[in-house]
Amino acid sequence: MSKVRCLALLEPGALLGGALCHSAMNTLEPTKELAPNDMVGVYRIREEIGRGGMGIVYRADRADGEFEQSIALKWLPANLFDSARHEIFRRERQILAGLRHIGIAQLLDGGHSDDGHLWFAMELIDGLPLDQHCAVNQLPERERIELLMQLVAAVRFSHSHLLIHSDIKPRNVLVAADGQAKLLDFGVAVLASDINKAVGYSPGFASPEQISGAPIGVSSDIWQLGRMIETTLLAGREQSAALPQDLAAIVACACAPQPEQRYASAGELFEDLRCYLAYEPVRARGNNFYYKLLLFIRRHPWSVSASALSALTFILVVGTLLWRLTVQRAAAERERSIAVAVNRFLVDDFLPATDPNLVGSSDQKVSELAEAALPKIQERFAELPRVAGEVNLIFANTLYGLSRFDKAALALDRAIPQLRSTVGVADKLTVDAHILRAYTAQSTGDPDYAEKLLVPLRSEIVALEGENSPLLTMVDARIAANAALRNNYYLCVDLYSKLLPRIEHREDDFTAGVLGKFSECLTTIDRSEEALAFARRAHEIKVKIHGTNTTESMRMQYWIARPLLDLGGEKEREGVKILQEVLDWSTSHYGPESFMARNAISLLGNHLTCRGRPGEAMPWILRNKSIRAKSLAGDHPWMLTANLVHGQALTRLGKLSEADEMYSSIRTAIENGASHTAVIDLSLYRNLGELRLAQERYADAEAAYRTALEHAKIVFRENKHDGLAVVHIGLAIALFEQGNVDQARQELDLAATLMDGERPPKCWEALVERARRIQ
Amino acid sequence: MSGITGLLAQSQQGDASAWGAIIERLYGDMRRLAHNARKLNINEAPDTTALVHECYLRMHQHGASGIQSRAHFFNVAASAMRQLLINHARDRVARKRGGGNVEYATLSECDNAADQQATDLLELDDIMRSALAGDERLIRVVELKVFAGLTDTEIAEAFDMSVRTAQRLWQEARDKLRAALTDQADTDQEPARLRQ
Repeated sequence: MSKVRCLALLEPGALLGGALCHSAMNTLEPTKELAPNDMVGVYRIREEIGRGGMGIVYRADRADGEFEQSIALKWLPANLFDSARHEIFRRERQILAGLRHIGIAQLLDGGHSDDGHLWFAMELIDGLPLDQHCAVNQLPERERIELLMQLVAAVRFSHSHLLIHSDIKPRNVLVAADGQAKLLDFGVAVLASDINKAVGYSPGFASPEQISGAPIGVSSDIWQLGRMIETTLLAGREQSAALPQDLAAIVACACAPQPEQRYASAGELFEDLRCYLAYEPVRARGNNFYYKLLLFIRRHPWSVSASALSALTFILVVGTLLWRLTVQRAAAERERSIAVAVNRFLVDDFLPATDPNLVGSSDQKVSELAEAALPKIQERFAELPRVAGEVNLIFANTLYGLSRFDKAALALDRAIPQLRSTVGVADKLTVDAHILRAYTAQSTGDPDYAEKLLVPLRSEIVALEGENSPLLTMVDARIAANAALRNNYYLCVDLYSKLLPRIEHREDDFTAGVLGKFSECLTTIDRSEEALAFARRAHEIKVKIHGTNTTESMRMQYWIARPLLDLGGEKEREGVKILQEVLDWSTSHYGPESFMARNAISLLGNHLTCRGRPGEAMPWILRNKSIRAKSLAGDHPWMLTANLVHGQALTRLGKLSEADEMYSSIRTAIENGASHTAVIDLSLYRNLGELRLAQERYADAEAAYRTALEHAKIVFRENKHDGLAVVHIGLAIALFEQGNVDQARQELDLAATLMDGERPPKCWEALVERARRIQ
Repeated sequence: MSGITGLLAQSQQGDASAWGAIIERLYGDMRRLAHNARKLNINEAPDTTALVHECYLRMHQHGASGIQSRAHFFNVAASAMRQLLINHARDRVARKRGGGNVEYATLSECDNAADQQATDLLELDDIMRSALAGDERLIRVVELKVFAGLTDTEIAEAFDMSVRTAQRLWQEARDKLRAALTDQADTDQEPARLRQ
């Protein structure tokens, strides 16, 4: 045997990749010990209270005169020299610092010494380990389970923060003087799990995947909790003591050899312990009719005794049970339920207060957390691609809402293949992921990507489910919305008109959303009356579902205001009033930087500028810019857009040199690589042309309009469009002023054929008026 | 830097402070080398070469006068690594014999594997010393291959020889070690056979 093993060491990598080399490298980092009265941070060491493979724990006192406090200080080997791991450590500690739960010993402070030793200051718990506490006090079973439930709740809480303890064992669970079980050593375990997978665990308390060196996740903690339950319940009992059948089933389920056979979450385990205490069926025992009947009778003794098992009672009891059995989740739905559980904790716990309507500096932390969590999703749900897909999708949603488009795209590019390979293409989740990815592409100035994504997706769904698949309505709605985002409003109206008959009868959020977007496209192509009707219908549906003065209903008010503004006169005043209401409401509910407030402000700025009231527009434009500046980089496409409107208002106010500076700054940003769309390019040169005309620099105006024309060809291709007409009109004026009357007239004739309707292009009425003089 | 080769020679003669000085110099890079190695799957050969190269470049940039060439550095690093692992294996074996109850301590399951490898490595080292004695080139090849994780091509480069020669030397060293181990195993089994 030893010969074979010796020779095996000669194999490539056998020695360097092996345990001996690992251990040798670890001993190169000896733990320097501390002596009483040594200072670490603001803490003075008093005495050693324990040591293990991970470091030494000292009792220490806060010694900065701030306040008296005894803490447990964990002193770790120096092994954080490189900055990348230092960064992981810093971030983990930040998350841990926010991990406040009555069942978790609070992390108070932490840092690293000059020679690289890491230390943590933890809440000091004076108490016995859980198993010893139970044994010494000879606690009855029920009290032991109550303590265990406190522990499971603490673990559940930490899982909800994406932290895996990975070293749950009796010595790490102390019972404080007030009877609260406290889970210790959190920071250390988390740190360990990220830095070095093969790091310590305790004999008898290592999950199978820890022993095999596989990645560990929630299920590893569940396994350790199972062992804790067994150890705690049997502590201090005679050797022959056995667990009651239900508890044995709970332990067996938690400690199943395969992670997927265990409880999917600490919450499920908690629920089973609660059921056990309440004499309700525990999930671990499965769907056993007689077992449930027995429990039912135990739980409701009256139903048996009072009526002496009359026929009626019997039917009631059996009926209830049969009903219960039918609502039990099928085994096949297990993974789905995991996904639901995981998603619930993400949405409820991990990402609290991340309403996508909220964008602002206060959410920086959340987006950092979400970004930091992304790599963990891959790792922790490696075995569950479907769950990983769903979680990635949720994070993408949040990151998208926080304008972290690149990270959202990253999460979605992971989610899409994960979902495709598990739930398939023809599933709402997969479709959602594609749609959000399309949105993300739009927001990063890559409008074509969205189309490349959605159109093939549609074909795939048609191939799988036919033209009548309900999923197609979602995709079609997005393709239509995409047309609007590409400024192709006629196509948008066309596509929505085709989609509408399929969903008209419905009164749900989706339909209301479609109607709202449809109304936007109609508004843009001047079919304001129809737009108003659809927006009012959308509002009506939202009010039915969500009530008045809700986020949802307010969003629809915004769509109502848009066509009203365009209809002029009394209607315009009504529109401004509604926008003001929307603004007040969203400001008071979500703050001045919320999505909706921003939209309302930006719309007011645009509208007033276009209506020839640039002076009134200016405060709104400036407000819009200052809000965007808080969450967006200076060269973000949305900032460029806001600056374009600003430049236009300045031009129309006659502040020509200021406008000139504004446009120059946009040009500089684009030259320096700011991401921008063809629409931004087009608008920039079109607006610049307007400015040059106002400056009476006609040759420059002509040049600007000709450049705008190049970009317009990209935006509108061969289609006729008011936006294209405006450029030709501007060019005509520039030519006319330079004496090129014939060319000017040609341009005007061309513009006339390009115009969408009878009315002059919106926002450019003054330009059209000036052009009339040419004829 | 007074010459890492000199330090290595001193440490081989039992000078503990020389050993410390070597480790100090190679420390960071060796740690990374090992860290990289330990991340690998068992079936995968570690890509330590890149690290060794980088390590050499770094030392070179810092004006490590003791290192004459890249080949020289490979040899030094391999020797240092060998010595480090042997020393550690000795410590482990000694500690294990010393015994001690570590109930509930956070112990790595890897410890058992490491103890096993320690025993095996010490045995292999003994065999190397006796079977390859007198043939410095064979010892160097084994060190470069096993303790520094170099490929045949890199060994050829380090020795300024052809790849085929490097492969032949490695084959020769391995055959000698295998033969020596078989002899030893036969001797080990003698008593058992006699009893039959």
